[in-house]
Amino acid sequence: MSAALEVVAAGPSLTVQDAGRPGLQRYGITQGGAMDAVAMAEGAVLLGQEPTLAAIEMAGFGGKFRACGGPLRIALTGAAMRARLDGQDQPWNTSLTLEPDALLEIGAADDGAYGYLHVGGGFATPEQIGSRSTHLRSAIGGLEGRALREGDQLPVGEDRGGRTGMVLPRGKRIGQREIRVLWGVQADAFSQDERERFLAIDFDMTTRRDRQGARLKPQGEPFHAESALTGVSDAVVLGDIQVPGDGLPVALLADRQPTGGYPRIATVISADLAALVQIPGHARFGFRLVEEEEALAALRAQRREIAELSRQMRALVRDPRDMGNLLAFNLVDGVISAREEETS
Amino acid sequence: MASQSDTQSIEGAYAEPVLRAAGDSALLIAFGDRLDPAINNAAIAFDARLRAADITGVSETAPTIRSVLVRFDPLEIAPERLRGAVAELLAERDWLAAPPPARRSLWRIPACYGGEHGPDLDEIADLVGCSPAQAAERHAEARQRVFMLGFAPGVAYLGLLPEAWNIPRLKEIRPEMPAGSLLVAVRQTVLFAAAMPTGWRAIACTPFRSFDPRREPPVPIAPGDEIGFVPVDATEFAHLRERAENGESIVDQEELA
Repeated sequence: MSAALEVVAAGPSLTVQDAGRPGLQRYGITQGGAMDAVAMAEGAVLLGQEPTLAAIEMAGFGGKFRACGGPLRIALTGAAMRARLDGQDQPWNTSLTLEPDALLEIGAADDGAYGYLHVGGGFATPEQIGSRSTHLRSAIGGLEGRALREGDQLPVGEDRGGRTGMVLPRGKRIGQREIRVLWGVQADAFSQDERERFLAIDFDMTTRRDRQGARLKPQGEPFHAESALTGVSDAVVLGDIQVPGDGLPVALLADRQPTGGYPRIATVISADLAALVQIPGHARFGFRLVEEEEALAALRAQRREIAELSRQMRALVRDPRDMGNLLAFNLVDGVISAREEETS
Repeated sequence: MASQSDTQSIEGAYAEPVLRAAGDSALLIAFGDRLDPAINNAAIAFDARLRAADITGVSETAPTIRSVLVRFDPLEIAPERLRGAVAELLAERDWLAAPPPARRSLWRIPACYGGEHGPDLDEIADLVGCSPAQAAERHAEARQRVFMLGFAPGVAYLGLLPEAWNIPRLKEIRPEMPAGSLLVAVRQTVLFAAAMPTGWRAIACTPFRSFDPRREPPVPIAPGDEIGFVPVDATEFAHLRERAENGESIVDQEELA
């Protein structure tokens, strides 16, 4: 029997995601893919494989998982969730080995919104239109185009192998409460006062959110667009902050509609998209306007950090500060990994 | 090249294309702010020009009703340089005088009007000012252009219907209408590719799926194509739907000169 991961219990929104389907917006298909692309890169580094391999995205809450047909290498990234391996606490942003008789339990996110479960070799669910990403609205990707549920068995690709028991430092994006923006395509539909207010006030992330978009609650009045739009739809982009008729902004995310008719006051810079999606429900945050130059510098810095992630990786046992409960670790993995690290 | 006076007379067209940054990784080039075949032709033609230019760092382009989206990697091509390259291409011709795309199709798509497949037909007929049978016939016969694929995979925006069809959207969003629904408002038809909520009225339903991940490409119809509907009864609808589900083609496609 080839290796698989069994979903013993599923949280409300577990989906298989990879890098999505770029290049198809002309057909009305947005790229989709993992909400937090940085977490995908972290998982790839922890397991020593390509960032394009598919993982499970867990919105707010995880589930229970078991390895079938052999041990699996696992990495946990993104929003820090409460994880237990055979009843023992497991630190986040780590890699571990899941033996066939062991149970991996992943609970609620402590901070952040989207956690990721990666496996060595990636999930080998069927590709549809060039990707394994689940797009719920059009029922494609993942398993039968739907969220995962109890009893699902996810096939796992061939794992080239490698050490486990490694840890990466927690990314700065999780807990970031200042999101940088550029003015949106229709910012001039709003008065100067409204634009200034957009930058000055705080917003609460609401729980009315999914992979398509997130409702933001302004601290104060709803927003009002000055000039009426013609209502002819136009293309929207990832990170657009759209203001619908009720004046309560919506951040447009991975599975957004490709076109929309409401004015967009601002667009989140590429380097802060992962920080935006990781803002937990009810958390308060604000927007800061930057120039294009700063947006590009931030993106350059983020790409560099991702390229240098492997240098940040440490064996778990070598950094006790990262260990919530020393006794809970799979010490054998860690020790072996540490020696490999020293001699390589 | 058409004279300026020709294109300036197009209602809703901009005197000059408007180039705007959409975030740090996309540009939007708009040719107007109305649903108009000339504005739409400009968007489709400029999209084709951009694809032919194959600019390094551009990951994709997509035409909409009245604009073109250009997505790019700003670390591969600086936004300023891309804007310059786009401006040069814009200066090549009067895009509002562009003809429809060279290779485009006329599709004849079966549709079942009224009844459970078009629950709002009677109300639509009242608003248009004719009998339900006439409304169905006129809608089916009207040759509608594909203005855009958007909103969701394979969802097609079609138009323009005659002036009498300038009927308002519903006040309330209604719960899910099934895949294949033909919804009308403001002289347009929207063809749904999957079940979705809508604020438009349902006149008919087609067993044809404009989005099918099993097909290559998954969406066969393209902006600039034309569509006519062939009325079928509920029995024929059920039969055609079964054939479509088995992967058979149930539409006619003809090259337009």
